[in-house]
Amino acid sequence: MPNDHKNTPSEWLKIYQNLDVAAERATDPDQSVRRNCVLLNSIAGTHSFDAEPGGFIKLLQDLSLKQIKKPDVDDA
Amino acid sequence: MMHNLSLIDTLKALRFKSISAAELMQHTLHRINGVGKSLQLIVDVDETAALNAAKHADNQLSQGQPLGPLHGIPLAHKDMFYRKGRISGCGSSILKTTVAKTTATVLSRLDHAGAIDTARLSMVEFALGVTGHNDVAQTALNPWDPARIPGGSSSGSAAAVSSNIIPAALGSDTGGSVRIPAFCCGVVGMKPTWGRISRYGAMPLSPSLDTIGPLTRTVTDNALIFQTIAGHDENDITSSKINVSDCLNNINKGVHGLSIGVPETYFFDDLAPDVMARIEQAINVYQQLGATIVSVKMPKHIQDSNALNSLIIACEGAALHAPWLKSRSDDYGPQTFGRLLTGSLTPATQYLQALSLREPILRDFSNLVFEHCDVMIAPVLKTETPTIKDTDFGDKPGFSDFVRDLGFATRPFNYLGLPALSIPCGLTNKGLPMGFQLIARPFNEEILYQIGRAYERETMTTDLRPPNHQ
Repeated sequence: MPNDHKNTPSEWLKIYQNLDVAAERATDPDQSVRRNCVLLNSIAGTHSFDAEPGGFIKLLQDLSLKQIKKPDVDDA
Repeated sequence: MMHNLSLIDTLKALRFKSISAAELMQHTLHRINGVGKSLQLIVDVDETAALNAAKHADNQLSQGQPLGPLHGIPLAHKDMFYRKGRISGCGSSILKTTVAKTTATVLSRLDHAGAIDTARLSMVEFALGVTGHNDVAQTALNPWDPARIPGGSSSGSAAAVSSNIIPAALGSDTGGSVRIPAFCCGVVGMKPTWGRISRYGAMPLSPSLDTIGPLTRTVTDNALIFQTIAGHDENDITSSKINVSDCLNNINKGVHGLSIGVPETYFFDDLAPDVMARIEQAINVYQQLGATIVSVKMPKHIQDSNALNSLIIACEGAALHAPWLKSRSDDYGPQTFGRLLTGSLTPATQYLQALSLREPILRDFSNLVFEHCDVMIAPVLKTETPTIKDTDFGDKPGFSDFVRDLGFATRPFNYLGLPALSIPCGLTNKGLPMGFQLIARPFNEEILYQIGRAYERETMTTDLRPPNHQ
């Protein structure tokens, strides 16, 4: 095992990358971890990851009252 | 025969004393020991306690005491709802002798309503599986065709209701585990809004996604069980304080003036022709009944919500199972172990990203769908109920793709936290049941029951029962 507290950030990165790849190859035959990583990277640019105040349950409660949008008078 | 009665009709028969609770219980125990055991649905039954409870219910009735809304009704549930002093095996080898130290809020509420908890029912190991297959405990059989999967993970609950053993059972739904067995066994299944029903005292799989819901033969029966168990619980801080309305008040009001959205993409891609035809028939029925049918767009990442839901289940499941994954790895079935192991290898950053994306995707979904319609219609499975032979993947390469594909239409609504009601819609050419699901705004289960009931009343598809178990 590496002596953790003496590693530089770049050394840490190598350790992390190697552990990640080794773990996937050894025990993840379907490569779910790798595929999820690709998926999340593809979504990351399209949505903000900022958590909203109040969290998920607050959003559910707010959306429970949402009404069907009526056409604007100007649109008619 | 009394086992053919719906829950509502059984309640009427008890109230008007055309049957007694003790007679009903004896008949139920006969079904449990016959059909129930032959289909491998029963984990355990305490006959003496059940009969005593039924006799007590008769005494209360004869003395004119105040009665609960489910007085004298025998029920049985997925073996993952804890009752103090009783074993809850959770479909596992690891917990098969573990005695619960507390009682689940949902069981307490059913007890308070007068229902009699009669038996523990088969389930998938730790509720982690969509086919119903269990490598470490008995696998429930589908009453329509034992060569077909019953669906999971609430396999015993759906099959016991379908085969007229009990009128209702509780299940849990984290990725489709109520709706998929409801589809495969031809019963009604509710996956409520996340936070609508307390999970206190229920085995956790993935707390960010877990929901508890009833399986019944009719929509009205489902509404009755739902409103008995729904509502805030001090013991579950994630349970919402939003009021639960009486779902039976408007259940027969029909669909005139309501609108049903049909998704333009994703959910209807690659459906088998007979599944597509049945859902199109259902849409036509709704149109004839006066509903407005509108086309709705899907958010860009709706298909990804399936994978993101699986990721969250794997991570939270792995965290809950961490000690056993190391010390008792041989006691897991291979697929359960494989899925949990994936979670333990997933970086925390991915897990948190998957959780964080729920809010923007839900907001997009709500804007695109619920600004234009009251509910959305979607399939449950892409095909008719598959065979056990075709789905017994174990942990072979490709199993996660298979699991993901089977839950393609159910898992997005766990991810988004939305309520969804699965309703039978007739039989395939091979005589197998199939169904569709309706999805509503958060905490709007009432409208799902109203719209589901309109279809049921018009088509009578919920009257269909397995030929060998009527």
